[in-house]
Amino acid sequence: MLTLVVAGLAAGGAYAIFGVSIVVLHRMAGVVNFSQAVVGAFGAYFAAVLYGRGWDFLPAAAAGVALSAVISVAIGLMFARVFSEADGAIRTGAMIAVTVGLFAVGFRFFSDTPRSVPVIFPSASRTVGGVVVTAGTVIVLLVALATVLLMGWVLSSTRVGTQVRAISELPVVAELLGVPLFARTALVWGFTGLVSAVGMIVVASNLPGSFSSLGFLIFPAMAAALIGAFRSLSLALVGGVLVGVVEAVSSYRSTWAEYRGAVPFLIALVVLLWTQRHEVWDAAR
Amino acid sequence: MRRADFAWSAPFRIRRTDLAASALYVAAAIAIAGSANPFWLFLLTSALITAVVAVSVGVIYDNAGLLSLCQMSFAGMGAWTVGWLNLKTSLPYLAMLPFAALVPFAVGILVGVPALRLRGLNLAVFTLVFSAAVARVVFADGFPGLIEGNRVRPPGFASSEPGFFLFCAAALGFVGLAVVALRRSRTGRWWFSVRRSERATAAMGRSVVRTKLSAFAVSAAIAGLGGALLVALHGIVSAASFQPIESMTILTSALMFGAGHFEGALLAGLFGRLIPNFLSDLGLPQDIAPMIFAVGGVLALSQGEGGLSAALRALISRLGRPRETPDHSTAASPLPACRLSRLRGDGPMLDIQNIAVSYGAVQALDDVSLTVTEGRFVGVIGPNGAGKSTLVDIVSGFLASSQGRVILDGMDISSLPPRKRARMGMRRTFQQGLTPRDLTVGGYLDLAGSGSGLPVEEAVSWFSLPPATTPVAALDVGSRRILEVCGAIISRPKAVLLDEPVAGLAGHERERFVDALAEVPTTLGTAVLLIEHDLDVVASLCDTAIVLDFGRVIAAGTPSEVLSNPDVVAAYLGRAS
Repeated sequence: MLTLVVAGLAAGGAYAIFGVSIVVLHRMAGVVNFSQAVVGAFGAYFAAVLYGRGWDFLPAAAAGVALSAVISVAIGLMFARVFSEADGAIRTGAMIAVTVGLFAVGFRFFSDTPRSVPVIFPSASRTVGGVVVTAGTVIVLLVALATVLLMGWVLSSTRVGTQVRAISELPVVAELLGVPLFARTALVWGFTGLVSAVGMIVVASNLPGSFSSLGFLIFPAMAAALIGAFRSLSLALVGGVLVGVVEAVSSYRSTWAEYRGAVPFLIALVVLLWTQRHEVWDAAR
Repeated sequence: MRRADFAWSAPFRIRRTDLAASALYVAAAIAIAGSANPFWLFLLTSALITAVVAVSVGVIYDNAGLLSLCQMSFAGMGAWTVGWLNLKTSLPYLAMLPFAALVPFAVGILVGVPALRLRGLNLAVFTLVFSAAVARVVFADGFPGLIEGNRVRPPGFASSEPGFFLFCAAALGFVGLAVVALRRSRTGRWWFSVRRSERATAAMGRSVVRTKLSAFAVSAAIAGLGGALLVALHGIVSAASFQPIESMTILTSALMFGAGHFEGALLAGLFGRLIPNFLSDLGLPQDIAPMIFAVGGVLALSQGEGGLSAALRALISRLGRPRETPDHSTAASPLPACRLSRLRGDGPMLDIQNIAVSYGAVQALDDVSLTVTEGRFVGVIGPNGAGKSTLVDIVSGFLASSQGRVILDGMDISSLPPRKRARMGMRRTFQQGLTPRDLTVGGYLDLAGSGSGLPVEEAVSWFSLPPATTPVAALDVGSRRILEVCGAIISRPKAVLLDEPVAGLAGHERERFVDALAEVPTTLGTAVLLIEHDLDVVASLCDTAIVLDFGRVIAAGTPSEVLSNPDVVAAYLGRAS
C-alpha cells in the first residue's frame, strides 16, 4: 500500500504542476488552459526523440522544456492579441480549439504510438522504509512546491504580479499605464509551459504512454485546478497530489482499478458539491 | 401554448424562406439518395449524423450559453443503449431510439445537478472530466455486441444505403424542427434569457438551475440520438468515436460554423466528414483536418459569437431587403379599459427594516429602513457610491443583509432566494439593461409576465414600445431599458424596484416613459421604489424621497423638502467650509 502511495506521488506531483500552472494562468491571464498537459507532452516527446538520436539526457530534456515554453508563449501572445477583450465563454471555446489543434499537430509529428521516455537519473533512487523513492518523484514534487511558492510570491507581492493581473482584467487600461503587455504575457506563459514540460518528462519516464495519453493528463490536472477553485495555488498543489495518490491506491484491488479512470471526476464532483453549496451569481452586479 | 401567443412571435412563424429552405433540404436529400454512389452515400450519411450531434452543441452553447465538453459521451451513451437493447432484447430499431435519447437525458439531469450552478468555465471543466471518466470506465470495456459480433441493423425500409441516408436526413430534419419549436416555446426563450443574464432570469422568478438543466438534458438527448444513428450506420462501434477529444473537436467545428442555426450544424457535419476525404484526395494526410477546425474555430471566435451561419444570415438579410427600421411612431394610444383599476391603499406593501451590509471595512449600507405604501412611489436618491444599488440587491435577494428584515405585503421574505421573491410579487430592473437580444419584444414580455400578467399587446401600448414582433436586438439602448421596466410591470407585481430606469433616455421619449410610469401605482396598486439620478423625475413621480449617503439615510420627506435640506446639498455638492 505504501509503495502505491509513493508511486502515486510522482504522478500526483506532475498533476499538481499542471494544476497549479492552470490556476496561475487563470489568475494572471484569465484563460483556462486546456492545453496545459499537451504543451508539456510536446516537450517530453521532443526530449524523447532527441534522446533516441543519441543526445545526452540533460540537453535533450532542456531542449524539450524549451520547446514547451516556446509553444506556451505563442499561445499566450495569440490570446493577448486576439481575445483580450472577449468574454469568458469565447476565450474558453478558443482555448479548446487551440487544444484540438495541438493534439492534431502532436499526432502528426510524433504519431500516436507509445514511445518510451528516458528515465531521469535511473541510478538515483533511494529505499526509504522499504519503499523505493525515485529521483523523478523528488524532482517533480520539488518543482511543484517551488512553482507554488514562486508564483504565490510573484502574484501577491511583486510589481510583475500586479502588472500581469492588471493585463488580465483591463488590458487596454494596463497598456495605457505603460505595462509591457507582451513581455509580461510571455513571461507567465513561458514559465508555466516550462514547468509543465518538466512534470511531463518525469511522468512519461514513469508510465510510458502515447502522445494523446500524456495530453489527456489534463483531466487529473483540471480536477486539481478545480480543487483550488481556480484561485488557490496551494490547494491546487494538494489537489494534484491527492488525485495522483488516490489513483494509485485505487489499483490496490483489481475491482477498484476498473474505476481508476473515474477518480478525477469523483474528486471534482465532491469538491463542486461542497464549493457550490451556496447560491452564486454570474456577475457582481 | 395558446394560439394567440404566437401573434408576436413573427420571427419564428413559418415564413416563406423557412418553407423554401425545408423544400430545398428535402429535394437535395432525395436527389443525393437517388444519384450518389455507395461511398459518397456513406460519407454523407455520417455527415448527417455528425450534424445531429452538432445541433446538440447548438442547443447547449448557442441557446443556453453553456460550454459542454461531453457531447460525444452522450452520443456514446445513445450508441451503448442501442447496442445493449439489440443484444438483450428483440426490440425493433425504431423502438430503441426513444431509449437512446432517454438514457443520456436522464444522465444529463444527474450530471447536471452538481453542475447546476456552474457556468462557463466550471461547467466546461466538469463536463470534460466527466467525459474522460465515461470513456475510461464505461466505454473502455467495449460496447455491447462488440465481442459477440452482434450488429445493429437499421429498420427494414431503411436497410439499403440510400434508404438509410434518407432515414438519417429525416432524423436530422426532425431534430432541427423540434429545436426550432423548442426555441419558440417558453422553455427555449428562458434558455436565451439565462444566456444573457442569470441574475435577470432569477429576477423574473425563474429558476436558473432548472433552465440550465433543461437545456443540458435536451442537448444530451439529441446527442444520444446521433449516437443511435451512428451505431446503425456502422453496425458496431468502438470507444474510439466517443473519446473526450471527439467532444472537443465537435465543439470546435460547431463554434466555427455556428451550430445554433440549422445550416451551421449541417455545415459542421458536412465539413467534419468531407474535409478529411478531400485532404486524402489531394494526397494530404487526413489528420491535419482537426488543425483546420482549430484554426477555423479560433478565427470564427475572434469575430465574436455565432460562427459562419450567423455571418451568412447577416449577409443574406442585408442583401435581401432594406433594413427594417423599428417603428417608434406609435402614438400614446388611450389605455384600454380592461385594465385593473385599484385605488391607492394605505397599507405598507414593502417594509425594509434596519438592513446593513459591509464589504470589508466599507459599510455599504448602515441600518437603513424605509417603507413603501401600496400604490405609491418612493424615490431613493444620493450621490454615486451611496449604496442605492446595494439596497436594490438586498431587497431583491441577490445580496444578504447582515441584519434586519425585508417584509413584502406582511410576509418576511428576508431568507428567500431572488426567484422566490419574484414569484411572491417583487420585481426589479437592472442598471445595465439585461434584456436578451435573441428574443422579440413580445417574446420577452411573455416570459416576464409568466402567463398571469397583463396581455402583451396592452403592455406594449402602455409603454409605447415598438411592435411586439420587433427583435430586441433592433432596439436602441433606451428602448431596451423601457422594455425591461415594462417586463417588471407586466407581471402585476406587489412591489417593484426600478434601478435608474430613466438613465439614457432623453427628450420626448423620457417624458412619455415617465407618463407611463406614473400610471403604474394607480393602475396596478404596485408599490414602486425608484432609484434615480434624475431629480426632476423623482420630484414629479414620488410623494416621498429618501437620500442615501455613504450607506446611511441622511434625509427623508417630500422631494422638495429633502432637496433643500443642507445635509443633502452638502452630500451632492460638498460642504462649504
